[in-house]
Amino acid sequence: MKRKRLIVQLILILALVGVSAVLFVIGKGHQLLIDNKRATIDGVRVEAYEWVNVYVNGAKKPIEIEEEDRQLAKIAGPWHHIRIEILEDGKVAKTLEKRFTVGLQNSFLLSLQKIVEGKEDWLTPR
Amino acid sequence: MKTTGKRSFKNLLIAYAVPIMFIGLSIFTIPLSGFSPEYLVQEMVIRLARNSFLVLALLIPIIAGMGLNFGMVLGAMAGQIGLIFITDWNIVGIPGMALAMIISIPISIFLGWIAGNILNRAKGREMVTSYILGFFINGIYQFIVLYMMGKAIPIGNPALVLSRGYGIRNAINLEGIRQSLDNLISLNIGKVQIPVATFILISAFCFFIIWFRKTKLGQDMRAVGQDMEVAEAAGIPVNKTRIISMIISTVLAGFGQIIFLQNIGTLNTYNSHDQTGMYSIAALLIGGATVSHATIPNIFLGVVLFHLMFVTSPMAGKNLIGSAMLGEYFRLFISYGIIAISLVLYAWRRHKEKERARMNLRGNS
Repeated sequence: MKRKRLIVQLILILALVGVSAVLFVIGKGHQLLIDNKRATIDGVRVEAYEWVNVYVNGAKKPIEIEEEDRQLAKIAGPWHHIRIEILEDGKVAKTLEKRFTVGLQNSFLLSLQKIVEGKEDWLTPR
Repeated sequence: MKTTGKRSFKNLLIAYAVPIMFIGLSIFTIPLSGFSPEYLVQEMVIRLARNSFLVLALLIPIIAGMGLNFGMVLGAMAGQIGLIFITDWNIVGIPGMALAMIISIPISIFLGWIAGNILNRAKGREMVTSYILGFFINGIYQFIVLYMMGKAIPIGNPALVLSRGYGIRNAINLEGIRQSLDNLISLNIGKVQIPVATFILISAFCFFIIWFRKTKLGQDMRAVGQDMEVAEAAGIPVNKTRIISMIISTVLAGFGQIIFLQNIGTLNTYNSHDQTGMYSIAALLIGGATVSHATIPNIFLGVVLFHLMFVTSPMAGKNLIGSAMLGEYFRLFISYGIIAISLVLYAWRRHKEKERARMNLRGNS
């Protein structure tokens, strides 16, 4: 009887630890720095875009990023989705959508230039 | 027949003296404050959501006959430690709140166990003992938070740590979890916003208490609360039951403090827990509860009346005398005074009941 009780208690404690680990991962907040600055990619200079609207995780209001600017987005959890609108002369010239996963680091740098150029390392921990 | 009717009316007046007094006071302060009904309703809804869980945590020790648990600040401190950790780890939203609650559980269980054991050695003087115990554990809490955190206990977030390199700052911004529960399901009725998710949680707690009273443990607690010697003779482990009631109350107080602070959005590291017990107990007593008897309606009535006084009295003081400070003093005076009045009324009522029982034994009407 005592042993059975001990086993039940152990299972409960383990379940609580497991739930805590899940909550830690899905609740972890991150800072996403979105960069619209000129960059050199594979030796080629890529200029900053005139104006970019970034929608993070389906937000209705975009994060507006001017040329040579960097903006901060706060996100939580490992799975995310962004939609990028590159504007030229006030009109959307290009739209890109990406799904990405982040680790447990606090801060990440997202390079718009690298996304548009199709590079793999567009998201780096900081 | 007429005498019996008079007596029952008198008994009713005595039983509900405190809420009647507060309703009377509110009748004066509400128009004097000049607040609109909409504003007052919104404030009461917010405060009901913010405080009810904490006040509900007081019910179980009352069932077990341990009186008003001034030691609920122990649970509040455990909840705050959970909040410090999730802020350091940057866990946000509902998962952050839930994780803070899970972190608080072992600390609350340990503190509740200590409190239960100490109160078992101070039977009949539980309230004053738990009040002083709160101060004692507060010293240990301050030692841990002020000296050990950042040194022996790693805290990585520099925004939390004092400039000397260890110890937690006075105020912690809980922006990661601010109103995350309140805004989870939000309903607007007119201009009044109702935090539905918080009320669902509070209702779940109410149902838990109703269910708990019917369980074997709940029945044991009631038996212990009515007469410890009879319960012991009936084979109920009195001390163990009392310890369990303290543990449950402490754990729930920890959850209550987390719900309270997610609504406020700022943690006052060294003060937030200070008044938790006092204000919760004052609210419960204002609702018509006593040291030995409290019901769920007492809680909601008490929270509304107490906070109605809290909201209206400074403005009423300002409008009446030209000084909001006077209203502020008045509400502090009221909250402490009401505890004293309730305890005196309770003692007086018990004395009267004993006298009546003695008279009945003698055969006098």
